[in-house]
Amino acid sequence: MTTALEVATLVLERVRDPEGVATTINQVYDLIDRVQVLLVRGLGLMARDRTFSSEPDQTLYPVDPDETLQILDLFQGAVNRRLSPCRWAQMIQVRRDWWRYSILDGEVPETMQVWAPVGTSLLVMWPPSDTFAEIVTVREQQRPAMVTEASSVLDLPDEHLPLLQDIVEVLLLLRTKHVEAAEIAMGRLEPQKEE
Amino acid sequence: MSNQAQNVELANFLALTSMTDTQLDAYYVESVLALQDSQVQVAASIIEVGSGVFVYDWPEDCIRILTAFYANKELTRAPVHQLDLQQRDWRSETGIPVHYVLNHEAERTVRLYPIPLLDGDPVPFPTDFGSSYPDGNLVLLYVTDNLDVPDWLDLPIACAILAKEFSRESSHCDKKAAELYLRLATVLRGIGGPP
Repeated sequence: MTTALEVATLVLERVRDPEGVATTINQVYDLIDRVQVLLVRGLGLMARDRTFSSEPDQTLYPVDPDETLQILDLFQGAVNRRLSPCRWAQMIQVRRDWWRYSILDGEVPETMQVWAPVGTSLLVMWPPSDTFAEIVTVREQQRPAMVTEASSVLDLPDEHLPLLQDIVEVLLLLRTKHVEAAEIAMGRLEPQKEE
Repeated sequence: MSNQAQNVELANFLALTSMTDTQLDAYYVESVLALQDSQVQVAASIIEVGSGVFVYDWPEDCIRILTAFYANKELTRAPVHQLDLQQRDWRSETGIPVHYVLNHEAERTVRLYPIPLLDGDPVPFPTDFGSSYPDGNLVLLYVTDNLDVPDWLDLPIACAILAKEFSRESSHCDKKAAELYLRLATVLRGIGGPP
Protein backbone atom coordinates (compact mmCIF):
# COMPACT_ATOMS: atom_id res chain seq x y z
CA MET A 1 0.00 0.00 0.00
CA THR A 2 2.08 2.88 -1.28
CA THR A 3 0.76 6.39 -1.50
CA ALA A 4 1.31 8.91 -4.25
CA LEU A 5 3.14 11.13 -1.78
CA GLU A 6 5.72 8.44 -1.04
CA VAL A 7 6.43 7.79 -4.72
CA ALA A 8 6.46 11.47 -5.69
CA THR A 9 8.79 12.39 -2.82
CA LEU A 10 11.25 9.68 -3.81
CA VAL A 11 11.25 10.65 -7.47
CA LEU A 12 11.63 14.36 -6.75
CA GLU A 13 14.65 13.54 -4.58
CA ARG A 14 16.14 11.47 -7.37
CA VAL A 15 15.87 14.36 -9.81
CA ARG A 16 17.29 16.75 -7.19
CA ASP A 17 14.14 18.80 -6.91
CA PRO A 18 12.95 17.76 -3.42
CA GLU A 19 10.96 20.94 -2.92
CA GLY A 20 9.06 20.46 -6.17
CA VAL A 21 10.24 23.75 -7.67
CA ALA A 22 10.69 22.77 -11.32
CA THR A 23 7.78 20.34 -11.20
CA THR A 24 5.17 20.62 -8.49
CA ILE A 25 4.20 17.57 -6.52
CA ASN A 26 0.68 17.71 -7.96
CA GLN A 27 2.14 17.55 -11.45
CA VAL A 28 4.15 14.52 -10.39
CA TYR A 29 0.93 12.86 -9.17
CA ASP A 30 -0.49 13.32 -12.64
CA LEU A 31 2.53 11.64 -14.21
CA ILE A 32 2.37 8.81 -11.67
CA ASP A 33 -1.27 8.29 -12.64
CA ARG A 34 -0.47 8.06 -16.34
CA VAL A 35 2.48 5.73 -15.85
CA GLN A 36 0.42 3.53 -13.54
CA VAL A 37 -2.27 3.10 -16.22
CA LEU A 38 0.39 2.14 -18.75
CA LEU A 39 1.97 -0.42 -16.43
CA VAL A 40 -1.32 -1.92 -15.28
CA ARG A 41 -2.29 -2.51 -18.90
CA GLY A 42 1.06 -3.89 -19.98
CA LEU A 43 1.39 -6.20 -17.00
CA GLY A 44 -2.16 -7.52 -17.36
CA LEU A 45 -3.10 -6.42 -13.82
CA MET A 46 -6.42 -5.41 -12.26
CA ALA A 47 -8.52 -8.01 -14.00
CA ARG A 48 -12.18 -8.25 -13.15
CA ASP A 49 -14.97 -10.46 -14.46
CA ARG A 50 -18.12 -8.99 -15.94
CA THR A 51 -21.05 -11.06 -17.08
CA PHE A 52 -23.50 -10.25 -19.79
CA SER A 53 -25.91 -12.00 -22.07
CA SER A 54 -25.17 -12.49 -25.74
CA GLU A 55 -27.89 -11.94 -28.34
CA PRO A 56 -29.12 -14.61 -30.74
CA ASP A 57 -27.64 -14.19 -34.22
CA GLN A 58 -25.33 -11.40 -33.12
CA THR A 59 -21.60 -11.49 -33.81
CA LEU A 60 -20.57 -7.92 -33.11
CA TYR A 61 -20.73 -6.19 -29.71
CA PRO A 62 -19.75 -2.70 -28.55
CA VAL A 63 -16.98 -2.19 -25.98
CA ASP A 64 -16.64 0.96 -23.90
CA PRO A 65 -12.94 1.86 -24.03
CA ASP A 66 -13.40 4.17 -21.03
CA GLU A 67 -14.39 1.21 -18.90
CA THR A 68 -12.14 -1.45 -20.34
CA LEU A 69 -8.36 -1.08 -20.67
CA GLN A 70 -8.14 -4.41 -22.44
CA ILE A 71 -10.10 -7.67 -22.72
CA LEU A 72 -8.00 -10.56 -21.48
CA ASP A 73 -10.30 -13.55 -21.84
CA LEU A 74 -13.85 -14.65 -22.57
CA PHE A 75 -15.78 -17.53 -21.03
CA GLN A 76 -19.07 -18.96 -22.13
CA GLY A 77 -21.93 -20.48 -20.19
CA ALA A 78 -22.35 -21.52 -16.57
CA VAL A 79 -19.35 -23.84 -16.88
CA ASN A 80 -17.14 -20.96 -17.91
CA ARG A 81 -15.78 -22.61 -21.02
CA ARG A 82 -12.88 -20.55 -22.28
CA LEU A 83 -13.17 -19.20 -25.82
CA SER A 84 -10.08 -18.92 -27.98
CA PRO A 85 -8.82 -15.48 -28.90
CA CYS A 86 -8.19 -14.83 -32.58
CA ARG A 87 -7.71 -11.97 -35.03
CA TRP A 88 -10.95 -10.82 -36.63
CA ALA A 89 -9.23 -10.43 -40.02
CA GLN A 90 -8.63 -14.19 -40.04
CA MET A 91 -12.33 -15.02 -39.76
CA ILE A 92 -12.80 -14.87 -43.52
CA GLN A 93 -10.40 -17.82 -43.81
CA VAL A 94 -12.75 -19.89 -41.65
CA ARG A 95 -15.95 -19.04 -43.48
CA ARG A 96 -16.68 -16.33 -45.96
CA ASP A 97 -20.13 -16.01 -44.42
CA TRP A 98 -18.82 -15.84 -40.83
CA TRP A 99 -20.38 -12.43 -40.43
CA ARG A 100 -23.95 -13.77 -40.35
CA TYR A 101 -23.33 -17.44 -39.70
CA SER A 102 -25.19 -18.77 -36.66
CA ILE A 103 -25.28 -22.18 -35.03
CA LEU A 104 -28.47 -24.04 -35.82
CA ASP A 105 -30.02 -26.54 -33.41
CA GLY A 106 -28.17 -29.84 -33.50
CA GLU A 107 -25.27 -28.47 -35.48
CA VAL A 108 -21.67 -29.07 -34.44
CA PRO A 109 -20.12 -27.04 -32.90
CA GLU A 110 -22.99 -26.20 -30.60
CA THR A 111 -21.29 -23.39 -28.78
CA MET A 112 -19.26 -20.30 -29.39
CA GLN A 113 -15.66 -20.94 -30.28
CA VAL A 114 -13.67 -17.74 -30.63
CA TRP A 115 -13.55 -14.06 -29.80
CA ALA A 116 -11.63 -11.18 -31.30
CA PRO A 117 -11.29 -7.50 -30.43
CA VAL A 118 -11.88 -5.08 -33.30
CA GLY A 119 -10.04 -1.87 -32.47
CA THR A 120 -10.73 -0.58 -28.99
CA SER A 121 -14.49 -0.31 -29.34
CA LEU A 122 -15.89 -3.53 -30.85
CA LEU A 123 -15.79 -7.21 -30.01
CA VAL A 124 -16.53 -10.26 -32.15
CA MET A 125 -17.91 -13.40 -30.50
CA TRP A 126 -18.35 -16.28 -32.93
CA PRO A 127 -20.37 -18.21 -33.85
CA PRO A 128 -23.55 -17.07 -32.11
CA SER A 129 -26.55 -19.29 -31.54
CA ASP A 130 -29.44 -18.60 -33.89
CA THR A 131 -32.04 -19.05 -31.20
CA PHE A 132 -30.90 -18.40 -27.66
CA ALA A 133 -28.89 -15.93 -25.64
CA GLU A 134 -25.85 -17.18 -23.78
CA ILE A 135 -24.15 -16.03 -20.60
CA VAL A 136 -20.71 -14.67 -21.38
CA THR A 137 -18.09 -13.69 -18.83
CA VAL A 138 -15.57 -11.10 -19.93
CA ARG A 139 -12.29 -10.96 -18.05
CA GLU A 140 -11.10 -7.42 -18.60
CA GLN A 141 -8.67 -4.97 -17.15
CA GLN A 142 -10.11 -1.96 -15.43
CA ARG A 143 -8.46 1.39 -15.11
CA PRO A 144 -6.70 1.88 -11.76
CA ALA A 145 -8.13 4.53 -9.44
CA MET A 146 -6.98 8.02 -10.40
CA VAL A 147 -3.93 9.33 -8.58
CA THR A 148 -4.83 12.89 -7.73
CA GLU A 149 -3.50 13.70 -4.27
CA ALA A 150 -0.93 12.82 -1.64
CA SER A 151 -3.10 10.19 0.02
CA SER A 152 -4.03 8.39 -3.21
CA VAL A 153 -3.05 4.75 -2.81
CA LEU A 154 -1.52 3.19 -5.89
CA ASP A 155 -3.17 0.06 -7.26
CA LEU A 156 0.12 -1.05 -8.78
CA PRO A 157 1.72 -3.75 -6.63
CA ASP A 158 4.89 -2.61 -4.84
CA GLU A 159 7.17 -4.91 -6.82
CA HIS A 160 6.46 -2.84 -9.93
CA LEU A 161 7.05 0.55 -8.30
CA PRO A 162 10.75 0.75 -9.25
CA LEU A 163 9.77 0.66 -12.92
CA LEU A 164 7.14 3.36 -12.39
CA GLN A 165 9.66 5.51 -10.55
CA ASP A 166 12.26 5.05 -13.30
CA ILE A 167 9.81 6.17 -15.98
CA VAL A 168 8.66 9.25 -14.04
CA GLU A 169 12.30 10.09 -13.35
CA VAL A 170 13.19 10.07 -17.07
CA LEU A 171 10.17 12.23 -17.87
CA LEU A 172 11.12 14.79 -15.23
CA LEU A 173 14.77 14.87 -16.26
CA LEU A 174 13.84 15.41 -19.89
CA ARG A 175 11.36 18.07 -18.90
CA THR A 176 14.01 20.02 -17.03
CA LYS A 177 16.54 19.55 -19.86
CA HIS A 178 18.89 17.32 -17.89
CA VAL A 179 19.46 15.39 -21.07
CA GLU A 180 22.62 13.56 -20.04
CA ALA A 181 21.12 12.39 -16.75
CA ALA A 182 17.96 11.38 -18.65
CA GLU A 183 20.02 9.28 -21.01
CA ILE A 184 21.63 7.41 -18.12
CA ALA A 185 18.20 6.84 -16.54
CA MET A 186 16.85 5.68 -19.91
CA GLY A 187 19.45 2.94 -19.89
CA ARG A 188 17.54 1.29 -17.03
CA LEU A 189 14.35 1.18 -19.10
CA GLU A 190 15.69 -0.18 -22.34
CA PRO A 191 16.42 -3.86 -22.83
CA GLN A 192 20.15 -4.43 -22.68
CA LYS A 193 21.70 -5.63 -25.90
CA GLU A 194 23.78 -8.77 -25.64
CA GLU A 195 27.49 -8.27 -26.21
CA MET B 1 -9.95 7.92 -23.11
CA SER B 2 -8.29 11.25 -23.57
CA ASN B 3 -8.72 13.72 -26.37
CA GLN B 4 -6.46 15.77 -28.59
CA ALA B 5 -6.51 18.89 -26.39
CA GLN B 6 -5.59 16.90 -23.28
CA ASN B 7 -2.71 15.16 -25.04
CA VAL B 8 -1.35 18.35 -26.54
CA GLU B 9 -1.53 19.92 -23.09
CA LEU B 10 0.44 16.97 -21.73
CA ALA B 11 3.09 17.40 -24.43
CA ASN B 12 3.33 21.11 -23.64
CA PHE B 13 3.72 20.35 -19.96
CA LEU B 14 6.46 17.79 -20.60
CA ALA B 15 8.31 20.14 -22.93
CA LEU B 16 8.53 23.02 -20.45
CA THR B 17 9.05 25.18 -23.53
CA SER B 18 6.63 27.46 -25.28
CA MET B 19 5.45 25.67 -28.39
CA THR B 20 2.73 26.40 -30.88
CA ASP B 21 -0.30 24.22 -30.31
CA THR B 22 -0.99 24.17 -34.04
CA GLN B 23 2.24 22.32 -34.66
CA LEU B 24 1.66 19.94 -31.75
CA ASP B 25 -1.91 19.37 -32.94
CA ALA B 26 -0.58 18.33 -36.34
CA TYR B 27 1.92 15.96 -34.72
CA TYR B 28 -0.83 14.50 -32.54
CA VAL B 29 -3.05 13.75 -35.52
CA GLU B 30 -0.08 12.25 -37.35
CA SER B 31 0.76 10.04 -34.35
CA VAL B 32 -2.82 8.83 -33.88
CA LEU B 33 -3.27 8.07 -37.57
CA ALA B 34 -0.09 6.00 -37.43
CA LEU B 35 -1.48 3.80 -34.63
CA GLN B 36 -2.33 0.21 -35.42
CA ASP B 37 -5.96 -0.56 -36.18
CA SER B 38 -6.16 -2.44 -32.90
CA GLN B 39 -5.43 0.74 -30.94
CA VAL B 40 -8.07 3.02 -32.40
CA GLN B 41 -11.84 3.33 -32.33
CA VAL B 42 -13.72 1.43 -34.98
CA ALA B 43 -17.36 1.26 -35.97
CA ALA B 44 -19.67 -0.77 -38.18
CA SER B 45 -22.28 0.85 -40.36
CA ILE B 46 -25.10 -0.72 -42.36
CA ILE B 47 -25.72 0.98 -45.71
CA GLU B 48 -28.94 0.20 -47.55
CA VAL B 49 -28.27 -1.29 -50.96
CA GLY B 50 -30.41 -0.39 -53.95
CA SER B 51 -30.90 -2.57 -57.01
CA GLY B 52 -28.38 -1.57 -59.68
CA VAL B 53 -26.58 0.86 -57.38
CA PHE B 54 -22.91 -0.03 -57.13
CA VAL B 55 -21.19 3.01 -55.60
CA TYR B 56 -21.66 3.97 -51.96
CA ASP B 57 -20.16 6.79 -49.90
CA TRP B 58 -18.08 6.15 -46.83
CA PRO B 59 -19.77 7.05 -43.55
CA GLU B 60 -18.98 10.64 -42.62
CA ASP B 61 -16.86 9.69 -39.61
CA CYS B 62 -14.82 7.09 -41.51
CA ILE B 63 -11.13 7.62 -42.12
CA ARG B 64 -10.12 4.10 -43.17
CA ILE B 65 -12.12 1.10 -44.37
CA LEU B 66 -11.12 -2.15 -42.65
CA THR B 67 -13.43 -4.45 -44.57
CA ALA B 68 -16.85 -4.71 -46.18
CA PHE B 69 -19.69 -7.23 -46.08
CA TYR B 70 -22.53 -7.78 -48.50
CA ALA B 71 -25.55 -9.68 -47.17
CA ASN B 72 -24.00 -12.45 -45.08
CA LYS B 73 -20.56 -12.62 -46.69
CA GLU B 74 -17.34 -10.74 -46.20
CA LEU B 75 -16.11 -9.18 -49.43
CA THR B 76 -12.48 -9.08 -50.45
CA ARG B 77 -10.86 -5.89 -51.62
CA ALA B 78 -9.86 -5.99 -55.27
CA PRO B 79 -7.55 -3.54 -56.99
CA VAL B 80 -8.86 -2.23 -60.32
CA HIS B 81 -5.95 -3.69 -62.30
CA GLN B 82 -6.80 -7.15 -60.95
CA LEU B 83 -10.42 -6.81 -62.08
CA ASP B 84 -9.26 -5.44 -65.46
CA LEU B 85 -7.13 -8.53 -65.95
CA GLN B 86 -9.86 -10.85 -64.71
CA GLN B 87 -12.71 -9.51 -66.84
CA ARG B 88 -12.52 -6.64 -69.30
CA ASP B 89 -16.15 -5.59 -68.86
CA TRP B 90 -16.27 -6.08 -65.10
CA ARG B 91 -17.75 -2.62 -64.66
CA SER B 92 -21.08 -3.68 -66.13
CA GLU B 93 -21.25 -7.20 -64.71
CA THR B 94 -24.20 -7.90 -62.43
CA GLY B 95 -24.72 -10.51 -59.73
CA ILE B 96 -24.01 -11.02 -56.05
CA PRO B 97 -21.10 -8.81 -54.96
CA VAL B 98 -17.94 -10.66 -53.93
CA HIS B 99 -15.36 -7.84 -54.12
CA TYR B 100 -15.19 -4.17 -53.25
CA VAL B 101 -13.06 -1.46 -54.81
CA LEU B 102 -12.06 1.65 -52.90
CA ASN B 103 -12.09 5.18 -54.33
CA HIS B 104 -12.59 4.13 -57.95
CA GLU B 105 -15.36 6.52 -59.02
CA ALA B 106 -14.49 9.19 -56.46
CA GLU B 107 -12.60 9.60 -53.22
CA ARG B 108 -14.27 8.11 -50.15
CA THR B 109 -16.41 5.66 -52.07
CA VAL B 110 -16.84 1.90 -52.11
CA ARG B 111 -17.77 0.19 -55.37
CA LEU B 112 -19.38 -3.24 -55.30
CA TYR B 113 -18.47 -5.86 -57.88
CA PRO B 114 -20.52 -7.36 -59.45
CA ILE B 115 -23.37 -4.86 -59.40
CA PRO B 116 -26.14 -6.02 -57.03
CA LEU B 117 -29.56 -6.51 -58.61
CA LEU B 118 -31.62 -6.75 -55.45
CA ASP B 119 -32.78 -4.15 -52.96
CA GLY B 120 -31.61 -4.70 -49.41
CA ASP B 121 -34.09 -4.82 -46.53
CA PRO B 122 -34.91 -1.39 -45.10
CA VAL B 123 -32.31 -0.42 -42.49
CA PRO B 124 -33.93 0.39 -39.15
CA PHE B 125 -32.72 3.12 -36.83
CA PRO B 126 -31.00 2.41 -34.56
CA THR B 127 -29.32 -0.29 -36.58
CA ASP B 128 -29.31 -3.82 -35.24
CA PHE B 129 -26.66 -6.47 -35.76
CA GLY B 130 -28.77 -9.17 -34.07
CA SER B 131 -31.97 -10.98 -34.96
CA SER B 132 -33.55 -8.06 -36.80
CA TYR B 133 -30.46 -7.40 -38.92
CA PRO B 134 -31.64 -6.15 -42.31
CA ASP B 135 -30.43 -8.60 -44.93
CA GLY B 136 -29.00 -7.85 -48.36
CA ASN B 137 -27.14 -4.69 -47.46
CA LEU B 138 -23.62 -3.36 -47.36
CA VAL B 139 -21.82 -3.24 -44.01
CA LEU B 140 -18.61 -1.29 -43.62
CA LEU B 141 -16.22 -1.91 -40.76
CA TYR B 142 -14.00 1.15 -40.43
CA VAL B 143 -11.69 3.30 -38.34
CA THR B 144 -13.51 6.38 -37.12
CA ASP B 145 -12.30 9.96 -37.05
CA ASN B 146 -12.57 9.95 -33.27
CA LEU B 147 -9.00 10.84 -32.36
CA ASP B 148 -9.39 10.11 -28.65
CA VAL B 149 -6.91 7.51 -27.49
CA PRO B 150 -6.92 5.06 -24.58
CA ASP B 151 -5.33 6.52 -21.43
CA TRP B 152 -2.38 4.15 -21.59
CA LEU B 153 -1.30 5.71 -24.90
CA ASP B 154 -1.15 9.30 -23.54
CA LEU B 155 2.51 9.23 -22.60
CA PRO B 156 3.82 7.30 -25.62
CA ILE B 157 2.00 9.72 -27.91
CA ALA B 158 3.14 12.82 -26.01
CA CYS B 159 6.74 11.55 -26.26
CA ALA B 160 6.32 10.88 -29.99
CA ILE B 161 5.00 14.43 -30.45
CA LEU B 162 7.98 15.89 -28.60
CA ALA B 163 10.42 13.76 -30.57
CA LYS B 164 9.07 15.39 -33.74
CA GLU B 165 8.94 18.88 -32.26
CA PHE B 166 12.47 18.85 -30.85
CA SER B 167 13.92 17.50 -34.08
CA ARG B 168 12.33 20.31 -36.10
CA GLU B 169 14.51 23.33 -36.92
CA SER B 170 13.33 25.97 -34.45
CA SER B 171 14.51 28.07 -31.53
CA HIS B 172 14.10 25.07 -29.24
CA CYS B 173 15.48 22.42 -31.59
CA ASP B 174 17.34 19.79 -29.55
CA LYS B 175 18.33 16.68 -31.47
CA LYS B 176 19.53 14.82 -28.40
CA ALA B 177 16.26 15.40 -26.52
CA ALA B 178 14.37 14.41 -29.66
CA GLU B 179 16.25 11.13 -29.84
CA LEU B 180 15.58 10.41 -26.17
CA TYR B 181 11.87 11.18 -26.52
CA LEU B 182 11.70 8.84 -29.48
CA ARG B 183 13.41 6.07 -27.52
CA LEU B 184 11.14 6.69 -24.57
CA ALA B 185 8.03 6.56 -26.78
CA THR B 186 9.19 3.19 -28.10
CA VAL B 187 9.91 1.85 -24.62
CA LEU B 188 6.55 3.04 -23.26
CA ARG B 189 4.64 1.52 -26.17
CA GLY B 190 6.41 -1.74 -25.56
CA ILE B 191 5.59 -1.67 -21.85
CA GLY B 192 1.92 -0.80 -22.38
CA GLY B 193 1.40 -3.29 -25.22
CA PRO B 194 0.75 -5.73 -26.71
CA PRO B 195 -2.25 -4.17 -28.47
